[in-house]
Amino acid sequence: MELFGLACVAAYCSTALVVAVRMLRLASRTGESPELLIGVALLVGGAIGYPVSIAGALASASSPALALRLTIAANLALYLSCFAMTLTWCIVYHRAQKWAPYVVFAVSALLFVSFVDRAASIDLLSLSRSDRSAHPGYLRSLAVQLLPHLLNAVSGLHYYAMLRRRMRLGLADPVVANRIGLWASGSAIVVTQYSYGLATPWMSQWFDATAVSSAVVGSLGLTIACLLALAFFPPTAYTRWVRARAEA
Amino acid sequence: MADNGVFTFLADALEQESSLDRLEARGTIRLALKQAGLDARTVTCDQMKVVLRSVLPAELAARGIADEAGICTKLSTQIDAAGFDEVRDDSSPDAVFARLGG
Repeated sequence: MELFGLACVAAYCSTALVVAVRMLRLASRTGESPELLIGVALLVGGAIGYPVSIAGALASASSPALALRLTIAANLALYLSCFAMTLTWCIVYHRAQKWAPYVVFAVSALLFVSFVDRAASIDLLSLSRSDRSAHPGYLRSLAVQLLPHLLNAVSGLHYYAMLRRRMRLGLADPVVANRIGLWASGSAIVVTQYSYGLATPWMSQWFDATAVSSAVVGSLGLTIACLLALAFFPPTAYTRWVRARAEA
Repeated sequence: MADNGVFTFLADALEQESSLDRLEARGTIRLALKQAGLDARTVTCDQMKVVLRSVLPAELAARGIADEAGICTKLSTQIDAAGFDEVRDDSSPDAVFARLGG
């Protein structure tokens, strides 16, 4: 089960890296911020932070000092990714709304405080995955890191619903609408991953939730990888199917 | 963000062409826009004309307005005559995601 989880994580991290490179190359051509922010979020979160975090957990038994450094570096990357996702939410979905920058400020402040709290609460005894899952500092960090993805999921799925209504009148491109739906669904699955982490201590009353966490989180990661691939590298057959379904 | 010019123009025109008062006219158009997945703050002339053709007639009929199709045709002509100068919005979420697809 552990091996399956790692394979899924590897698939997710490599897909995040490929999409991130594509977004950053696009950003260098267009000079626009959405592609830059999405590229940074996927690069530092999916391609760097996530695998380094797992490396930290794996190294905890053999080299606690290395594990500590890796865990702090991973957290820095994951928090930066969350910050980029918060800005993405504002710039993509709520650029013109006056209240959106206040939400960005509030979430960013929470992220900063949470990062400091997490860095201060990491201790050598809580680095292995089984010990970490019930650590209060870890759980607080999960609750805060969930927020930017929740914002992207809610706004993205709301916009996707609007585009589906437009599609019926021929006012939206089905492939673009589908891309927004896939991206928002990916964010919703990240929220599910974080929620599983938060619920692990509670679920452990009934079964060993930590033991299956790598398989659960890995499967969700594999699903996100598939959604990212379909959103940003859709096969011709898939786009043809999306268009045909919209016309039906 | 305030309602845009096309929305305000159409609400005023509908108020004049029908028995609806100002609030009713604005509310009816807002409902029609919502059904079409559009927003009064960002709707364009072309989108509004599709709403006039496909959604608003049923909304007017539901409110007991006679000659709903004729009113909508007249409103569409008035939008054309007003000659709104629109700039393409490249920052809307769908424009952004269209670009991200390469």
